[in-house]
Amino acid sequence: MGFIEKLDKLPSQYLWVILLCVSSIAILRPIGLPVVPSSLTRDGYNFIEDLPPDSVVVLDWSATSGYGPELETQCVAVFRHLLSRPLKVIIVSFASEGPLLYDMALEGSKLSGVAVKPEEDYGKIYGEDYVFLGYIPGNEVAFVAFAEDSWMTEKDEYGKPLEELPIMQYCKTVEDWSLAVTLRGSFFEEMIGLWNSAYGLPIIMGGPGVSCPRLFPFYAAGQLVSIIVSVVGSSHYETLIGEPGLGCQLMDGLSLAQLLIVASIIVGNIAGYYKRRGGK
Amino acid sequence: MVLVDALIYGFGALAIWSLMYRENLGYRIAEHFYVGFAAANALVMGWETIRKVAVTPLLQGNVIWIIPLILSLGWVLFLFPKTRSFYMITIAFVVGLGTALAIRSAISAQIVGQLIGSMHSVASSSPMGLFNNILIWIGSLCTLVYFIFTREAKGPLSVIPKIGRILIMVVVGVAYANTGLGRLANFQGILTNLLTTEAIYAIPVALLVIAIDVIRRRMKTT
Repeated sequence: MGFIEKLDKLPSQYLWVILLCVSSIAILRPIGLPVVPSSLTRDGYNFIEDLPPDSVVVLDWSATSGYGPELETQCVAVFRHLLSRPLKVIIVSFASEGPLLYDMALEGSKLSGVAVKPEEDYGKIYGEDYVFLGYIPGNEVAFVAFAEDSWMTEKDEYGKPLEELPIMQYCKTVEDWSLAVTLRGSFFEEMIGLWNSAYGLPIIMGGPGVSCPRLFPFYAAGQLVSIIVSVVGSSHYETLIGEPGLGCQLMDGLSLAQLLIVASIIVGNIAGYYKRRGGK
Repeated sequence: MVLVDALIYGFGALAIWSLMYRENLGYRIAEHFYVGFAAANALVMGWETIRKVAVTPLLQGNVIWIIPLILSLGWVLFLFPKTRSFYMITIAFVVGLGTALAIRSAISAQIVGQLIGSMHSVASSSPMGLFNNILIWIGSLCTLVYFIFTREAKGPLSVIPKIGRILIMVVVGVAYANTGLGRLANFQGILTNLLTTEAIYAIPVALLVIAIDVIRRRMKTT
């Protein structure tokens, strides 16, 4: 009983220190735990694989730095997949930090991993195979406005008129879109309602771990093609496209940290049980 | 410059994490900086949005943009009692727009879509699909029964709301686990930056400060 009492009085700081040590070891000496893609992620991957050539895919790059690598790694993984396919990729952001994070992905950063080089690595030309329209403010209003008129920005992120970009001839309204991949930290239900329910557009949705349980009913009801859950989803996607990146890199530490927390919950419950029994 | 950036990042992250040790001056400074920068960023982004969306088109001769600009003044006029009534027009416009969008999206996605999704046949080609369909069917029924308060379920019927309660607990557990997953992913990202960049130089300094504080506090108590 002495041990149980000691355990009960142990300051929480000890757990943080152990968590820090375990995660640090996994980062400095990666173990390489296997990453097995879930059907939740695989459905999205397969859907993109089955799209006919020249299909228009809208990639909503609404990542924010507050979610750290959770959303940014998803954006990078999906962007890489779209670039590897003969598709027309329209990138847009409904989050103010989106353009900044898109640039970080092209340049490479600690938040997005190795630089994405569309021309060098995938032979894709800006304005013909992909385009970045920049940040569109307004959330729900912007979702509808952009779906009704994909030329609403008039210029791309770099100030070039849309008439001068050949890819935009494929994309005038939501009627031209074959799929939307929306990776965001908020406005999930609104996006599903306005793009899927109103226009019947297939949607692959990615979100941070804290928000994804809200999305599972939509996936189960067939309103979403797939859900990419946090860094775990990113690592699954990276594995599926055969390009392990930051998502896979973070998985070792994440898995060990999760195991530690599960072990702590079990030990805490056993200690609580014995304490209660001893009290009686 | 990279070194300076990394050190600011390192000291900032460690100062925020130092709250796990105890409340301290370093944490408060970092917290104030964070809030200040976030407010400044929001202000700049807000102005950029107004300039890009409304002011620039207006100056180019698109006069329709004068309407949202005038309406937006309502938020500021709220501060003055004499002009507060104008604020009501802005609020009415925003509420009306919000309601219209909610009717269009929420009803179809969250009510009709979910009902259709729950009312499909239990039959499936795969055993796992069959199991999932049965689970959805039982789960929907039991959870709905749990929220019927007009009559208390007694006897054998009391099992149904109990199953509903267990299923709600499972869903809440999944949400909690996912929250933990998300927070840990953020933690891993920051820790990776700390350990693999020049930010690592901030760690011994932070450890030294904590060690000095521990010794100082022990000396005080003895």
